[in-house]
Amino acid sequence: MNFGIEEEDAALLGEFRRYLDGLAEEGFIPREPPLVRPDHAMAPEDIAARRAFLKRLGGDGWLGLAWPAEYGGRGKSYFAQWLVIEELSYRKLPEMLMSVTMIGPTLMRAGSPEHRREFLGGILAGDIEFCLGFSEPGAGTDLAALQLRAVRDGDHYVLNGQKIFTTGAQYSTHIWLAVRTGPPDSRHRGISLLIVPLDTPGITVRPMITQADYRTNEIFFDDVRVPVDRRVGEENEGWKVISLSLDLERNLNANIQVRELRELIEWSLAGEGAGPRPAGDPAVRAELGRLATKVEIVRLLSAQVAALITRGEPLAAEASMAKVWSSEVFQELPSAGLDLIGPRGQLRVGAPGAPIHGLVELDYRESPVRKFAAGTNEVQRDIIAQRGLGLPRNRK
Amino acid sequence: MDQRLSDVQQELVRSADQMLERHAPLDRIDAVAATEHGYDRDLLARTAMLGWTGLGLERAGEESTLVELGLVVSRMGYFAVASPLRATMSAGLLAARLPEATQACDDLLARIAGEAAPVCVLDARDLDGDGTIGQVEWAAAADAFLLVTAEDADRIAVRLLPRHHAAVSVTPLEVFDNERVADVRLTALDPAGLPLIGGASRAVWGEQTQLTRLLRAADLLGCARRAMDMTVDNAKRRHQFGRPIGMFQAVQHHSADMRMDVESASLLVWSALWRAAHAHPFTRHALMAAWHTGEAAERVTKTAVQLHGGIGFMKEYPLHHFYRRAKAHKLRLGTPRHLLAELGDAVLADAERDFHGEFAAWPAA
Repeated sequence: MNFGIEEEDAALLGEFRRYLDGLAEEGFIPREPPLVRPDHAMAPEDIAARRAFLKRLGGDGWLGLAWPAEYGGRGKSYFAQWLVIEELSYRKLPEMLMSVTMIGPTLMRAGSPEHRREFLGGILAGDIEFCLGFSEPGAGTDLAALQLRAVRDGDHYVLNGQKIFTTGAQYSTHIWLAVRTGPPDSRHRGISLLIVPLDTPGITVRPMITQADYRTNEIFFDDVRVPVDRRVGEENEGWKVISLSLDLERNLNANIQVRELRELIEWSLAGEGAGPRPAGDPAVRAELGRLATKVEIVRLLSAQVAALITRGEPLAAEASMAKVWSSEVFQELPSAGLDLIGPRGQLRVGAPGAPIHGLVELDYRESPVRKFAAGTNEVQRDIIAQRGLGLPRNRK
Repeated sequence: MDQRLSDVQQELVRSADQMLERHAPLDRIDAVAATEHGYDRDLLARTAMLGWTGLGLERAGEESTLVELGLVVSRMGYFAVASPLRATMSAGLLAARLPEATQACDDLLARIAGEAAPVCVLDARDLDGDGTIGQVEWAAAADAFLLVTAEDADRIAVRLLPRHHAAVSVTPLEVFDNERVADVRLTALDPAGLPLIGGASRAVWGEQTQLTRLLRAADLLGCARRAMDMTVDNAKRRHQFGRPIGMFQAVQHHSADMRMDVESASLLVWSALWRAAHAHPFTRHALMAAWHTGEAAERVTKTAVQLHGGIGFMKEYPLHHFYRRAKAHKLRLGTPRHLLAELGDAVLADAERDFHGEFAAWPAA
């Protein structure tokens, strides 16, 4: 049993923190975190800044720290990579979590040599970033019902159909796309996985604005031609690739919640204007103690998953427990935070005089998403009960 | 970072389970509770033979086995064992951590480690106007007390008070679980006349309070885990509508919530004990573990009774022992609102000192 971090990982984290401090000193990144999370960038200048930062990070060797040297990585521990991504998350800087921890490692295992040559270097350079093309209007939790059609035409597939809730498509370069190559009712036996550049003719990206004012997307495919060699895995065996990539999508940031906790604590210590410090109120301190405990559990559960992945052990219920707990705390923090702030909490983000710049109300509006995204918490609870406790399956 | 038990720790847990399965099965709880002292003396003697009563009693600088102590205490909770062991080990931890210890201290530690001599702590600062210290666990079973007095604003002294000293009278209380608790009244006692065990700063006493809570939290964790295991076993075997009730999604989701309560409490308890064992600051972490584990164990045992249905409500089925133990132990952690207030103070104090550098940092392995 060991709840500490190794010296080498700690040293690397220290080096990375100094590196980021240096970038702030030279004015390359802002000293204070922005109001808008970088994974919500929408405005062209924000998207450009996001890309520039990721290219800098990649150029300086900080993307894909744990990737093996043969793929351009630095061969550090997975845990060190997790700590670095956590640091970015704490500072609200872009981290390309999905491409680095999910798509890249999936390509290393299931991609062709051409795929690895074409995409892995681009990811590490910060040039290539993926979004996930899984959900469709009729296929959410029931992913095997997806219907985006891909028909063979010589050495190409021709795609027609639609994806929805494709978050990050506005700044990604490629989409990791699940398509139907088998008969419509073939479910998980008739799915293939394609890599498609988002600037391919026939693709239309339409923004959908969330209740948190950030953008996700709908994507329409009209006779989109994709070379067959962009298929990852065999035809109709894309479900295996999807499962592999979803198994890797288990890396969780705890520091988003840590940052939110810090903002609330600092507000309580500083107070607003000339009024008394909220932290002087025992009820406020008790509530912050309760929230800090919830956040500590998020950290411990997330670190446990990172440690399991670092040792190459299979994840059973641990990843689902971390996902459920962290997404629920993600909602609880701004809910309880606004209750602590009281009536002035209604001032919207960026409004003059809004406590904590109104970030808490913005977080409150964003906070439901993690409970249903990336595998609903209901499905996660099924997994915990069945894989973690051995209760019998209840779905086909 | 490795949350798993080491091979040695796994072996310790295995041997604890074997011993408790054999000598403290659930169907003996009622018989033991009906005895005069409410615990099995032979079982306590066995814990000493197995070396449990030496765990955690290292002096500063020696390699700590505090986590291992937590592990055996947690297994005692898993079997809902009524025993002065935990109270004794809390007293032992206090004696072992006193920087200025006397020969009497070494003798006491040897008796705890070698013979499992039951001892408990009496904090003279808790004396009420009547000269009584309320709700002392296992006071009636104790051979001796460690009497804690305030020397001055910054220091405490710890003295050895024999159970049968003329100044001591013990009045057993009736509590709703199988623990034994008593009020202890001290009449015309001059502490200065008692053998000195040692002295310490108040900071040492503060840590002692948290360690006592952590051991109880470890017990509660075992208690919650047992309630969950019993419930899951039952849900696999019990059929309604022609299928195991564990197939129903409502039952599965309740079970998943139990599992998360157990996992989160487990991570908090072991990380806090690990910190204490490795000389990292642990006050805030112990308070988090204590508060959350109390809440979690109460939730888990309530859900356990709900998912069992009628049989779980019957005295002939052992679940009620865990339902009782969870709530009673939670209360012994301190009034929940006071515990939460203390936790809030610790969080604010740590965060104000240095949030990024210390509050949110991982300790060195």
